[in-house]
Amino acid sequence: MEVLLDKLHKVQDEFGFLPESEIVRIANEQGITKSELFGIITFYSRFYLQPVGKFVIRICKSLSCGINSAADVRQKVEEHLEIRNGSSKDGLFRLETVECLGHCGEGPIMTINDKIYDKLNPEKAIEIITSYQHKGEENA
Amino acid sequence: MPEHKYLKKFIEASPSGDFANLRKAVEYGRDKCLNELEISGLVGRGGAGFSTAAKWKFAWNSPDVVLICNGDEGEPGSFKDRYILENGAFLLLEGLLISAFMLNSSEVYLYIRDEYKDALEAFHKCLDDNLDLIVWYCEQVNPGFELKVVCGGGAYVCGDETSLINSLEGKRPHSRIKPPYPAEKGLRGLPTIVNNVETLSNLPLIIRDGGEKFSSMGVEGSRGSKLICLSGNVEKPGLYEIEMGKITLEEIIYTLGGGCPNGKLKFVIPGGTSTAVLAPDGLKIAVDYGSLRKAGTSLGTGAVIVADESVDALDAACNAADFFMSETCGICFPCKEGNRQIDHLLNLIRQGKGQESYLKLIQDVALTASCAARCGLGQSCGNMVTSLIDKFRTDFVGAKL
Ligand SMILES: Cc1cc2nc3c(=O)[nH]c(=O)nc-3n(C[C@H](O)[C@H](O)[C@H](O)COP(=O)(O)O)c2cc1C
Ligand code: SF4
Ligand code: FES
Repeated sequence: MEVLLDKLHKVQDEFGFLPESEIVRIANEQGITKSELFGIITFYSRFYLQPVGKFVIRICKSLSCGINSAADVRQKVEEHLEIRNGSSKDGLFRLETVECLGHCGEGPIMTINDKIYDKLNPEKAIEIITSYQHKGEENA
Repeated sequence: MPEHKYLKKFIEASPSGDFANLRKAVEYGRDKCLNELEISGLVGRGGAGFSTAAKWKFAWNSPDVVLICNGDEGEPGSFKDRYILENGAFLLLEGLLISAFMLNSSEVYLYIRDEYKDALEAFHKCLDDNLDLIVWYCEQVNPGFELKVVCGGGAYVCGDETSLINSLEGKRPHSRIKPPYPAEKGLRGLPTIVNNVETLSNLPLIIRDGGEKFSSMGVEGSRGSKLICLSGNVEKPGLYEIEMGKITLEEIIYTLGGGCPNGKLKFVIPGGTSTAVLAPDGLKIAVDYGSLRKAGTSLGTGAVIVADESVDALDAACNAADFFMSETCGICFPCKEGNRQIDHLLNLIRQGKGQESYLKLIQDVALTASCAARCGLGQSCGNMVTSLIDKFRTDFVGAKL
């Protein structure tokens, strides 16, 4: 019982995004056109058509986090990385603001490659991101 | 998340580990189990509060029922299903197996949003830990049984049962027109029962204690306990388990939650951003489906969001409008375009470029969207925004218009 979502996740886990050749292959398997599959993929927010940064940072902007000053966190992170919703030039980071991540009692919430960081303030967020910057540079 | 002393039922019930409730259900047989479920008065915990037994009866005599457990939890303010998956996976697993047995269903899905990685891991661990019992279940109780855990792709609307079915079918996951309801015609045209994680986690308790005892908790139309996700400007945010109808919203916020730490309470959202807000004078209200409905709002998913006086009603409205604008599936024009217009008009007001007539316009657009909407997203998208306009008009008119 493999469903389309399984196939998409599998490819994205391997490549970090969905390469066109794989989209063509999966569309054939599913018996739909490439454009139909494209329409399905882009409906979802978590699939990428191009390579994205090594570390995907998502900051929650929904109401509970908003009430707890998530906007301040987001602004500082944007300034620090010099990006708004997008990838950094060095390819290390991608920044997204997203809807509720299901940890509303502990907001503001940020995830980096799906690891949860809670009860953030701007300073704490920058500190965490800096540690990833070091990690990225070490591995470079 | 720290374990909370109010989470009596879920913590107590979880670690039994031997499927005692499942075994009991099998001894009872499916009809007696349905009888217990009916007596229990359980209603769905995914938002609508529809009777679980009534839903199941639509498909009771069908041979190929598909069962889907909805763990796509995306309503801002909600985190209860994640908590169950992470801390009570066994309870959900047992609930799923009991339900599949009762419904004669061998094709079962658990759809978890992709963001919930820890939840996914916890549930898989639970499956691994209970492999022997699952083998026994497959051989002795429900031959052909297959449980498939599916990760979502990141789309709030997939929480709607018909969108979720489209998503599983590999289609563009927008909502379907109802009727036919999924219980009649769902996945691949088969009768399909969709239930929330919290709903199915109640099944082992109903079998263990009997429907009578379950229904002795709560009030008419809202039997049993409910998980409440408390967040926002509150001293002790977190997950609480309450007996429905026996505690007021005020008590949840002040007695359990310790009140607002830094200022006076301004408004409360009782059930997530799809529900209308209540002002401080409306909080002496019992928390159950019926009482909140009567007050013009809804218990929704049980996501109680508290806002103190530092929160501008216009900002909160913009936040909700932005959410619905980005999450509409776009298939009904009034929902797709209406949410865009609501967001646009609110932002004009925020920038000081608004007119007072916009407020009426926003309410009209919201009403149109709710009347024309195919699914609950469009039906409820205006609840929070219009109630904020009604109750805190000065925040909108104030300096900005
Ligand atoms: C836009 C939208 C999102 C929804 N999201 C969820 C969700 O995340 N989880 C859920 O259980 N139900 C959700 N629902 C309700 C489901 O359609 C369905 O009613 C529910 O899963 C039925 O289960 P229940 O009877 O156990 O509550 C959503 C509905 C709509 C319209
Ligand atoms: S009401 Fe909105 S979200 Fe629901 S089907 Fe229509 S356009 Fe899609
Ligand atoms: S509102 Fe931010 S995690 Fe839910």
